[in-house]
Amino acid sequence: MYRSMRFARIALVVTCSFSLLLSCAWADIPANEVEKIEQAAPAKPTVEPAKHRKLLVFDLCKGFKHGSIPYIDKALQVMGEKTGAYEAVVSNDMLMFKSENLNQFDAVCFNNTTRLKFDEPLRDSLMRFVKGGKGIVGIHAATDNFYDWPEAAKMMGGQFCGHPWGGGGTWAIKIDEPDHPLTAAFKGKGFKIKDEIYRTKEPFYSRAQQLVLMSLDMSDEATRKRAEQPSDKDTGISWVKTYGKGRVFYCSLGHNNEIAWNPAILRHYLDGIQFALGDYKVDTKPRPMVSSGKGSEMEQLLAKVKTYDWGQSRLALTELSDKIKEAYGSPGKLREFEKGLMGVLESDAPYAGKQWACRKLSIIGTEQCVPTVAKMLTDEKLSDMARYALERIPGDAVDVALIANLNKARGKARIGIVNTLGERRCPVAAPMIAKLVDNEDELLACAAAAALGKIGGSEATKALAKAKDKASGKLRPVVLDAYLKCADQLVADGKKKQAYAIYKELYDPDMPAIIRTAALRGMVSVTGAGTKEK
Amino acid sequence: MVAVCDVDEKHRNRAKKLIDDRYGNKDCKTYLNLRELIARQDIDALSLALPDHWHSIPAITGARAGKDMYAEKPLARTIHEGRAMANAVHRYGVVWQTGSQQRSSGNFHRACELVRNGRIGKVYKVEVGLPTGRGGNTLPAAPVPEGLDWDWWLGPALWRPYQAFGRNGPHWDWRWIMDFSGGQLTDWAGHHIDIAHWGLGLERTGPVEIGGKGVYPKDGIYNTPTAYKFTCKYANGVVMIVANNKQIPQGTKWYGENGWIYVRRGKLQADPPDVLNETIGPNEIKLYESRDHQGNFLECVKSRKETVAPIEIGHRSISVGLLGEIAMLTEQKLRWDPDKERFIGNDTANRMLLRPMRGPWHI
Repeated sequence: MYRSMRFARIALVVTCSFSLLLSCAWADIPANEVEKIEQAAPAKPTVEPAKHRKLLVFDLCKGFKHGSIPYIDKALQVMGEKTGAYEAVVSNDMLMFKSENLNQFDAVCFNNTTRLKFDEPLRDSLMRFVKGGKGIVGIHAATDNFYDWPEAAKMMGGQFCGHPWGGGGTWAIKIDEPDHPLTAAFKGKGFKIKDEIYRTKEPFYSRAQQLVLMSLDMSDEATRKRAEQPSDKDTGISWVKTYGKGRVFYCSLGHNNEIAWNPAILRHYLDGIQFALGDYKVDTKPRPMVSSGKGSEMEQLLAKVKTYDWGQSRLALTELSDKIKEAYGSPGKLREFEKGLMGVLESDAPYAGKQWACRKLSIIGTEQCVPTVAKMLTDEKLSDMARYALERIPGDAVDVALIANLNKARGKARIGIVNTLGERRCPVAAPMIAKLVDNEDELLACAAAAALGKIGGSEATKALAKAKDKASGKLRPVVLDAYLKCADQLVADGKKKQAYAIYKELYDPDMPAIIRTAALRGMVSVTGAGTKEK
Repeated sequence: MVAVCDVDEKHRNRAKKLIDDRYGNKDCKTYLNLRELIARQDIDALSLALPDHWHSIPAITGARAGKDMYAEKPLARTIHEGRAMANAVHRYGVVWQTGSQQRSSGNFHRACELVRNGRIGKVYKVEVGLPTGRGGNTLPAAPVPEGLDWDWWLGPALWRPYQAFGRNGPHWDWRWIMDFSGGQLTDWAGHHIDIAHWGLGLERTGPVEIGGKGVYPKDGIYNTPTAYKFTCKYANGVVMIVANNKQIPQGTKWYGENGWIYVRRGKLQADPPDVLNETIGPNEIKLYESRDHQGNFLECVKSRKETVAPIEIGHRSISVGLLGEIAMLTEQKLRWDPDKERFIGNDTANRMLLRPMRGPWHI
């Protein structure tokens, strides 16, 4: 069942001030690997410790002994020293759990301990330690303990029951909480790793009792293929929880020695340890699984959007909407929803489903969705919904896409693009829009003039100055209004002289009375009431 | 009255008949396309009564053409449109009356004048109660009723098929669909929030912080909130709580350090009660007096003076409702800059300040 150990274990026994036996060094980690650990360890603490912190690193095994134990012991010590986040004390003596010994520590890290048994006084001592407000850290086989002590298994948040994903394979991990500070080490992105993955069983492992930070990504074929049971689709990798007043952080990675010099994993360990020590305040509220994994809740809801049509129940839409709302302010999670909505647009979903997706993208969309949405811009039927999304999404990518489609689109789709560029006040678009002010389609010409008025600036002003003498009919008031707006914009920018010149031009006796009124108002605003020029 | 414009032939003809019967002739012209009506040089003033999503386009087109306007509240569907409307009306100096007719009603005027003159001491809180909304059934797409131009009715709103919501066509119950309106909240914000602002003297600014929660129908054609409650803080420390009338009694109630004043249609109460017997002295604040909302508009069309419910004030009244709508949709506490009219540090909320318009429509 278990792989054989790669290294013989040689414990050096030293006597500490408590006259307890502590194993604290492993003579046979090759120097070059120690060096790797030292280099990979973070240089600084994630947060400054509030006070001197002590971490008990416990590594006793009553069952299988992992070869990685000395490596991870070393890494934990090095990190503590290098960052100053804590002082690590490594031990395999059960007497450390006696209250008088335990209480000097801020947290206990179970480094690959196996089949530990606690007698009554020690159980009481450990539970009081945690529930009273201290921390627990579990690494890899930390869940392979407490088989006769369900309360402790519950505290840890899982109990080992097999590892279909062996240490020789490479497995995909997805980040369930991409915006959570404890996944910052992975920058919100899932990754692949060569390590052994523990399966932990219900009821101890439960998304209702802990906040799962990352888990196996079943959308990866190799990872999915090893799954044996329905429950394997949710295999937690890291989690946090509160227990009484205390804090628990567990990370399932730590079987292979290489983990000890993986910079991202070490950072993740450190973040979790600082949380357990009480220095790093992070959210621990449990949440159900939301993921891009096959068959996830989000996938199921998106599948319903893909068949949604007018006159159908919109319950699924409401449910997905609420989930998106919960993710507002969490960019990483929103990116997952965004991808899902893009999938709706790329599918053969009915018009109503695609429109709904565009409504959501208008609120959460980023540059990521622009290419997908922009494909709809030239389609007269789909263009409105595409612009509904794009008009509200900040960033140059949207402007570039709109400009690229401006002269490809026809009819109302083209007018719409002009309008959206106007609302976005996109100055780069001004020269192209200027060419449309004298278009024979009056609606397009009006849209172009109005857009130039919103954009303002020298290109727009020049074009409108030229157009004002030629425009007639319904176009004329729009052009003059836009020209006035350019002058108003100049006032706002402090260019009063230029603005005054435009107002004066529009105060011409040949202008409609209403334009003269507005121009006069402008002149007064520039010069101040009661001056000669009024 | 020389012309009417409506996208439903039945309504158009009914309005024409009403006017023609009054004048005893057949001269009233009818229009489907409002641009054609507004382009007429011989028309001085417009009366605008349209669904909320159709407020800004005729108002801005009208202002550009120099028309004076009496327009139904709420001022606009979005804060972005409301600001553009107010700018256009100011640019051209046209007369504008927002249809917040409570301003021309004695009780409301009296209540506001008492509050404004400190009769209940310094005001620290105002509660505004508005009607409760309702949900609706899921409805299939249906054939467009004869005589109704559905594409024109939708105007700038996203396309959807005709569905037989409401009574006798879409002309009333559009209020409960978010593409067209914000529900009871925005229908009534232009009344009781408008009055709250008037009493506080905060009618040309807005809150600086907004947060709250709404209950939305999970299914069915209607999607505006049925129950809602949100709190606004103003820069001077005053707090305004707005909720549906199952949480706060309908109307406006100001709380001051010396008592309270409560007003709604047909009711004016105070604690202590003798506050209501107070007279306003010659050197105290006198609020604009109008006893006839339409009449006030017509007087101003002649005098060119400001109306009792000018556009900036109408814009600021509905802005509170629209800010509450966004706070509830995002379920976040929002910080608002009433001068720049942008949310501070919230991109999601800022995106909701405008609703992109369909095809040929723009403001």
